[in-house]
Amino acid sequence: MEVPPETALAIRVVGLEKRYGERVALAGVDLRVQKGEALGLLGPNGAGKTTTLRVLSTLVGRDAGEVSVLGLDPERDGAQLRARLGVVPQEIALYGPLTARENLRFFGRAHGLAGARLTERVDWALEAASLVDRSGDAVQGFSGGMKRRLNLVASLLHGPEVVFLDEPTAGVDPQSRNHLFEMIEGLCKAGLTLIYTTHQMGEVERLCNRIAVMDQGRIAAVGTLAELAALPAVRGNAGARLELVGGRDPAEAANLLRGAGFDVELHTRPHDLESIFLVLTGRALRDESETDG
Amino acid sequence: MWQTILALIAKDILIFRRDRTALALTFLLPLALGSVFGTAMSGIMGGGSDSAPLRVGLAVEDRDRTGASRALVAALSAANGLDVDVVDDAERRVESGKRACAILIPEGYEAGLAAGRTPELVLLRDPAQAISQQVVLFQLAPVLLQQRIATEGPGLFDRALELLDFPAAGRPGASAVLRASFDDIQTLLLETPAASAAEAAPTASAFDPLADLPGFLGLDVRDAAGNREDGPPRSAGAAHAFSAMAVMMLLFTVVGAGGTLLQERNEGTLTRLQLTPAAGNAVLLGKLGSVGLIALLQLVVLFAFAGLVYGVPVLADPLPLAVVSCTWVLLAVDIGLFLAVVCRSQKQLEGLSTLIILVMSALGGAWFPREITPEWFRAVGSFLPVAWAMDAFHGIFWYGKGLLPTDTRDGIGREVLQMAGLAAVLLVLSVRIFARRYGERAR
Repeated sequence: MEVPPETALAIRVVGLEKRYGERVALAGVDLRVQKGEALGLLGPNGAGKTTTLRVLSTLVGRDAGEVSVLGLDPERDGAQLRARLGVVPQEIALYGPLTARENLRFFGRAHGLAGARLTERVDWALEAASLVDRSGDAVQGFSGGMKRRLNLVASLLHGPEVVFLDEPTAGVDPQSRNHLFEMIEGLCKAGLTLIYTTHQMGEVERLCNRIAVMDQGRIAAVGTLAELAALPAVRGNAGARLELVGGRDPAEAANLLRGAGFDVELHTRPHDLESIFLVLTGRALRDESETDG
Repeated sequence: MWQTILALIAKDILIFRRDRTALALTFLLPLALGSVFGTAMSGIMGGGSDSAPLRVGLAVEDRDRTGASRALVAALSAANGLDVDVVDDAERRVESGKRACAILIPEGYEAGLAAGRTPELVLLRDPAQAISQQVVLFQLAPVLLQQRIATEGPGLFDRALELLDFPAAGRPGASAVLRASFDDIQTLLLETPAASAAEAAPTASAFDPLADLPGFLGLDVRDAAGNREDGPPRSAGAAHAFSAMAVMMLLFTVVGAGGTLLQERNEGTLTRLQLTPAAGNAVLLGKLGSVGLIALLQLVVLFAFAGLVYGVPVLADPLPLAVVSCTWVLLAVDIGLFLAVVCRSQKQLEGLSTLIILVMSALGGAWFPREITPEWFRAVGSFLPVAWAMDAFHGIFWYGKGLLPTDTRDGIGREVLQMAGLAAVLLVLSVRIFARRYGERAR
């Protein structure tokens, strides 16, 4: 895998460690994200995705390691970094009794916007979220998709350069999801740096240039989809598919079956991201709390 | 169907058992409030044969300074339910609410007794502390009655029959019986121990102890607190009630509003706020400001109503009221925020705050006047912010106190300082706990 030059990096993480009491949440995370890149951050529950993002976004400190976002240290330069950072939370972090416009104006003001600039950005956000017609309605009456769209643009009001998206499409219908995808693709085209966490592999395949797979507090692998599929562990594990037909080479198994008088057709298809993910992280259930990890 | 019903019952009981807040509210709150009320009321309603009667402070100013006046002071001091202070400023003590009553022994007291005249004593009273006055009167009765018997003799009983509305036709006969038994009655009076207020409760006769007894005992009763000559008439009940509402209901308001901090955490908006450049203490201080404004508005509406409808003198001296209101709002908001940052869930906050507010309000005098409670109960209450706020608001509304003491009146500066001090401590603690619990924030 090609290592990007340091000057082109938006995010640089080396040996990041974080403990909660006795529990190790991050056990030496190494990650580099280029400016303008959309990185998909995948991992089972408790892998450390949320903790990584919380450290990067200044919400929690770290126990060890080096972290730099846009050249700033989240611990030392928190206020400066937050002014250039957008975080789209997994929750619908909006005030239900307030209207869409009131929500946006409030969050804009909290980010230091005022006057004409605030009005301009709020209008842009309502337009981007296709909520102009509903801007005067209380958010608590919105559908899940409308709330998700508003949740997204509320994090973009101040014009961040780096955006973390934590499962931004959870619980929405296909149309709203597609609209959200288009909005996020627009962010990519605008040159923003994105880190996208989700359990929906298809979303990462569609939106992200590269993918980082986390497991047990570490980055298990990083690369493009093709690069991940070409990893020895993944490629070698292709034989696992033979488990379906006897645990051996499919062609050989198919020949054996044919020799035994079966009419067999062998179909092969490339790895999809979900199969890569499962190979890399295993199939065992992970029921730890996401916020803990 | 029965299986479903039984399953529902079992499920609800299981959930109830696991809900610590519900358990506390269901079982602990009644116990706590029952204990508080039971203890408070035992002072005036009796607490059994071995319980101590309610003791009431009585200021005595001896302007005669003679053997007879000193003997009277000694007799009053020996009364079972009185804590007598011999002072030089009896009126001021009553005027400031420090004493419910005071006895003024005028100059010429001994000379009057020697001349066979009825002794003229002045009873200064605070109309806001009626229960204490009742206790004082019943404690004074045996002492002063003995004096009157000594000076007026059996003729006193004619007046007693008149006061008791004894039928006029039967009075001569009854008077004769009383005169015949004079020695026995005198003996009985001397041997009878001081009665508690409850034991001496008035019967169904027309005799009104508070109205009639002082005159019968030769007391000249004067109001020394509440209704000032230079101000409108005041209602002691309204002054206490609106002070209490200002204190107790404000606490409920701010705890509810402070709980929105937990709501914001649950809904994710708190995290979003923490991701703004000026996050950190700004979030907590912003919450303090919004809750404080709501609380202040509540006080304005409450006091406007109290002034317009019940004549509570809210505008008699606006500065002390404004200072006390702002200080109490600050302290109450800090209490609310402190509970909000300490509690881990809204349910926990609801349970804990209900318990704390109700018990603190009862101990601090927001539910019933502290004068009716036992001494140790009052001592505990005096350490609580509710008591400070009650004393401050009631001091303004009823006693007309200002921020600073004057020659004739105490001030409420001490209460204001106590509230401000605790507010500062709670604010610092809240900020620290908030930073640790809600952020582990980056610097």
